[in-house]
Amino acid sequence: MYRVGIDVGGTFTDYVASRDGGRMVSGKTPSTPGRENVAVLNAIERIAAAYESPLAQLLGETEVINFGTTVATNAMLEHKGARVALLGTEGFRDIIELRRGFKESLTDIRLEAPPPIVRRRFRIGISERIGADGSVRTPLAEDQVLAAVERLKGEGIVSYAVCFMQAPANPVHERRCAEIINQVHPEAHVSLSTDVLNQIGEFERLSTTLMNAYLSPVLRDYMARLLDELGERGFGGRLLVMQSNGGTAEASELGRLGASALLSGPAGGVVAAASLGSATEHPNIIGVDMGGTSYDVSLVRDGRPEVRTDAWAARYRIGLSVLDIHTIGAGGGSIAWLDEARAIQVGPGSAGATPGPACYGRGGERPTVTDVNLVLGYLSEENFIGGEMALDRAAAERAIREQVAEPLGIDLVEAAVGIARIVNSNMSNGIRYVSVARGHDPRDFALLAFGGAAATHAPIQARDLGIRTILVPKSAGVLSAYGTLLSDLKVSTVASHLSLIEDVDSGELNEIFADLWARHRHAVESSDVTEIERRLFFDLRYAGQVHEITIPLEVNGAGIDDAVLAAAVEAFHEQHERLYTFRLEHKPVELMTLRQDIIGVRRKAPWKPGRARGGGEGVTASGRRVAWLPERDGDYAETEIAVYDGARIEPGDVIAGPAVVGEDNTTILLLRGDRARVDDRGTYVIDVEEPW
Amino acid sequence: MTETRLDQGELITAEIIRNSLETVCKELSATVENTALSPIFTLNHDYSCGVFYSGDGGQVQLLARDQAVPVHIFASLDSVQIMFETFPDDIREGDVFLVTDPYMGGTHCPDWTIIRPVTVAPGVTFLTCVRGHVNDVGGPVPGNYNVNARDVWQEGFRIPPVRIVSAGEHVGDIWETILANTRLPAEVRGDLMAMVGACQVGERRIRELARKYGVEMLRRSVDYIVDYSEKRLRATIAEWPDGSYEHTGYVDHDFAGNRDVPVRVKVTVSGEEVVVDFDGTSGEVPGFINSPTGNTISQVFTALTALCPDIPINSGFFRPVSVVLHPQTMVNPDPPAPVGNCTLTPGTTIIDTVMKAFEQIRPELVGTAAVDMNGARCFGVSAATGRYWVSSDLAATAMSAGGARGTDGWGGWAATFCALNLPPLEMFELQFPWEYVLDEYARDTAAPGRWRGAPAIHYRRRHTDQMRCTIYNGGARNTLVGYAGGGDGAGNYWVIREGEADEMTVTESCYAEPLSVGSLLFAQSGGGGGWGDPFEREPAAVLDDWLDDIVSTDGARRDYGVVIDPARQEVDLEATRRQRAGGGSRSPAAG
Repeated sequence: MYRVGIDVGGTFTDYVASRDGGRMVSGKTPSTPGRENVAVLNAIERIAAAYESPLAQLLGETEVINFGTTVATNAMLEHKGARVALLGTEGFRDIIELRRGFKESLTDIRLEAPPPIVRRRFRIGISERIGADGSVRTPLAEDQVLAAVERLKGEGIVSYAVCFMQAPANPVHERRCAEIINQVHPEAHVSLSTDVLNQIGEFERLSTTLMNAYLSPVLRDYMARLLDELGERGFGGRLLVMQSNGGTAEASELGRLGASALLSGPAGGVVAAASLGSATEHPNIIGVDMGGTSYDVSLVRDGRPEVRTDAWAARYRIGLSVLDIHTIGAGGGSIAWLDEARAIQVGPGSAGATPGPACYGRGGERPTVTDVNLVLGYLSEENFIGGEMALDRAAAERAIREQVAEPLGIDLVEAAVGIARIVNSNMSNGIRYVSVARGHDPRDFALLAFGGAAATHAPIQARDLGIRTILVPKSAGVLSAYGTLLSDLKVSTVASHLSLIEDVDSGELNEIFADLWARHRHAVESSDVTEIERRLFFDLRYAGQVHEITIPLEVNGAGIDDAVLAAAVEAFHEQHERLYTFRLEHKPVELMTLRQDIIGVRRKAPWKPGRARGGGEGVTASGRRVAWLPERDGDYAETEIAVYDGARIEPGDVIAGPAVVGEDNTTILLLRGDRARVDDRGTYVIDVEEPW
Repeated sequence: MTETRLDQGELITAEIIRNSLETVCKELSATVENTALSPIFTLNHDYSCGVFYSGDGGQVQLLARDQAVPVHIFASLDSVQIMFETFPDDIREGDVFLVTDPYMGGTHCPDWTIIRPVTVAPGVTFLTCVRGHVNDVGGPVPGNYNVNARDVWQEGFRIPPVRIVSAGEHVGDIWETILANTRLPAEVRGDLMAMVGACQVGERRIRELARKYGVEMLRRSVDYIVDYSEKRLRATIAEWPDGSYEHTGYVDHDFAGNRDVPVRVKVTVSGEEVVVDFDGTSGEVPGFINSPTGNTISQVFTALTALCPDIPINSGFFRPVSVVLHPQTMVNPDPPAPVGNCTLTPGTTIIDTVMKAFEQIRPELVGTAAVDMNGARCFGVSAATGRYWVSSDLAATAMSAGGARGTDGWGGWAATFCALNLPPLEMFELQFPWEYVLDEYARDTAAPGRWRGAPAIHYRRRHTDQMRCTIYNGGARNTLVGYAGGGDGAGNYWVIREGEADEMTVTESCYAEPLSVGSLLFAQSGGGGGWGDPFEREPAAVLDDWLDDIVSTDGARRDYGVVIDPARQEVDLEATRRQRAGGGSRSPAAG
């Protein structure tokens, strides 16, 4: 049986497949924006060709296709979600525009408002009110709901968000509202705030609910279409989709909880990072994924990716549990420019895939990070993307010279070095932001570089941050696709429960957790699931604080008892002190939210690199060239480096820097003192010399 | 400008250090937000973080700031300077200082500044700093907005620079003295801990930078960082036409019976420099709207940052600008004149007046950059718990966003004040004894303009416990102004005990008014000014506002000259042309 992982990106659609846990096939095919399925089918055809199997037979023998997709992200960015109406509490129509006062700029009074998911005319106030204690203060005006839905149905609304004040304290009005909508407008999607994000805080809950109502119909239709097309070609297996929380879910779940697919694209890479890290005995990983337009930083601790519940996506707040991926505008296509004070800046503008960097020779005239890497001697002119593309060095030099070097009165290499230093520093600061600023010491982590370009910069970030190990899998260029196959089925459930820890009734908590378990465990039951795990968490804070720290609970068979509570409180004090330098022993600790992750652990296919030569007996360089490499003092020196062809490098091989290794879809830079060894899974494990 | 000769490689290092210092500020800010206890910090984010520098004991300079409330961070510069001068040779490793006195670089008594000097080598001192609005600092009035104050001692406890942490050890007697002078000692203790903790997080990172780049490079980078902003601001000013541009704005009242108090500004542009002269502004007033110099200068720079939104803010930004403040005026008072409301009034009027002066030369850049002029503090003892509480609910005063060229006003406050956050209403219902009834845009209240202001917010809540309420309201008559032909904002007012026999509309102030269980409190918080002639607004945009219930049929005709056919839900273009040709009544927004 086959297992297929596909990651549909903005530029390329990446694929990875395995047969009976054996030989793996991987590659890239151009994406087909707006018609994602075309690229998906192309990818599957390529897989069939690689296994020398007819398409129908391959699909017939495929038990699972696992997707990462940017469909949700693109629908948000391009404002192509469903036509949504909001039913909310009368008197509170503008919560989503007030945004708790948040604006993206502190100085720009001309900043435009975010494009509305639902215009005010479709935000309907309904007479009803639940009190903070859960009591019904004003009964639901069912006639208003009925009248509104009948009208909205006629105005092209296909999706309803329902978000009432204090509904987490008592969802009765939201549920009744859903019943009425289902009667009057049964084909419409309904998102109840208490189903999407059952926690207090009306803006965060509303924003998440609106996104969900906006995206779910899009994903439902997309998945149905894809499943049809695959079915027509003989596919009878299961279609799974990566979720923002790092787990995967049945495609049908996405039609209900579309907002959970917002980070579906990059999620696979983070899961693969966690998995590879554990396999190389590096349970703590900082993952850096550098593509054409961005540099995504994520963090894995003890083998588990870090998640957050206070992210923004396309200017909307998302309160669901999402992987903590910090994105900065530093990709291979990021453009270098001079500001008014003639200081070099890099990004966030990007040349993208078209026209692309100047060296692509597709009409791009502005200098990019890729142009700099070519001029400094890291990239090969002949062998970029597995030799599918030749790079134009003269064009790269011209762009840097005309737009940076000459205006500053410096020479070409000085300008290229300047750009490189700025972009490298931006990357290092991005890593600091997810590590140091969150109370983690980067020296306790290995740096895993993937995507097309991260491995060319990683030795510098490692030195900036004192990291001693860099990992670059041979699959770096398709790691997100591979990661989809490594993901587990996962549902993140939430229940609000505001109480001082000293007043908590642990029996009641056990009942809430048991109820969440009973309601959601079916979502992770599946033929390839070997066991089901549950992980319990408390969101705790000192009474009076408003930001909680999520503390995992150590629970044995007996469930939550006094010992579990005491351990959680102690863990909270410790974590608070680690993050913020102090603890407040005199303050009572308050429980805010209960979280339960239900995880269906799947069988995994380990990466099987090819072994043609039998590595280890000493690989030879395919050539040498001159490159400009950074030195400890920050200067760059002209250095002769060895050039290796990645296709000839196998497990057991050892390479010493200074060198570059040209893999199919990425170029690995090794500085003087770096030593790379390729392990059995085809991962370059690079020991970095002393930090600078 | 100091001449710093850095070669190209060093310039890049300096740029890297500048970015790193901005990151340090972000870390400070996140620490305070995540750890403080009082809602005014954690929910409203009424605090600001910065990194400062002093070389060889010289003038303190601001290097970087994050998510800052502008009145905090500019004024902090004076507070840090005064702290530094107070302890010239007596700062040790691990010391932390506190200063709150409005006449020592402060704004008003509740704005506390925490400073952690980080000396990385002799004569090379960085200072991490948090300034935050503490919920209660003693004095006669809970929450410190004393509308009856006639001197600064009636506004709260003044603290000159004091050492609160000495070589890493908390100075217990000082902490207890400070905490004995607030009604909310547990809360304020937590907030102080959060601010001190944040400064220490910043200290770690400064030392890392010193280790990595060396003290000498760090020192030289500081000059580069401030020169960079200075250069950019000078380049911008050079493009402005030379000349003098004047405007006079008016503050509704001074809480002591004086009305329409003038703020006069003359902006003179010459070459690369700007002088902002307040000659002609009112003298000191008896009520609590005198503005210490730190506050006045902060408000001027708030307007300037909105005019130049992409220049990094540090001391270099201040250099090409001189602010001339004449002694014993409302904008440069002497102690002990009361100052408690200065951040709102005359603060808002100062920003609007400076903007109006610049409107004469750069109309395309101007718009409302102020936070508006109203507020309320309520306090009581919970019937359920016996606990004393003080509340400031910014949801009642949430609006000031105006139109700008190309953009309608939206959201709550103008961008310059959006570091302040609005509270989650559901959370406040758990914390305070009331239930919200209304918090929504009001029809026909947006300041008209080709790009209109944001509508006013109407706010109503019902009380579930008894309490007392003090209101300090401005901007009822002299509302946020419009620009380039746009209308003025709708203005602010309050109604207490709404619907009861003793209902009272408050346009200026009330003091400790009793509110009983079941009583209602209403507030209108008006939006900022419109931009451009409303008769030039796209009729389609007016129709959108009509469909969205932002304007009525009458409002569309009156304010925009747009005639809407309600039955067909479309614009009557012919009637609109006639209406616009006739000029209409062109009244400002109806309140």
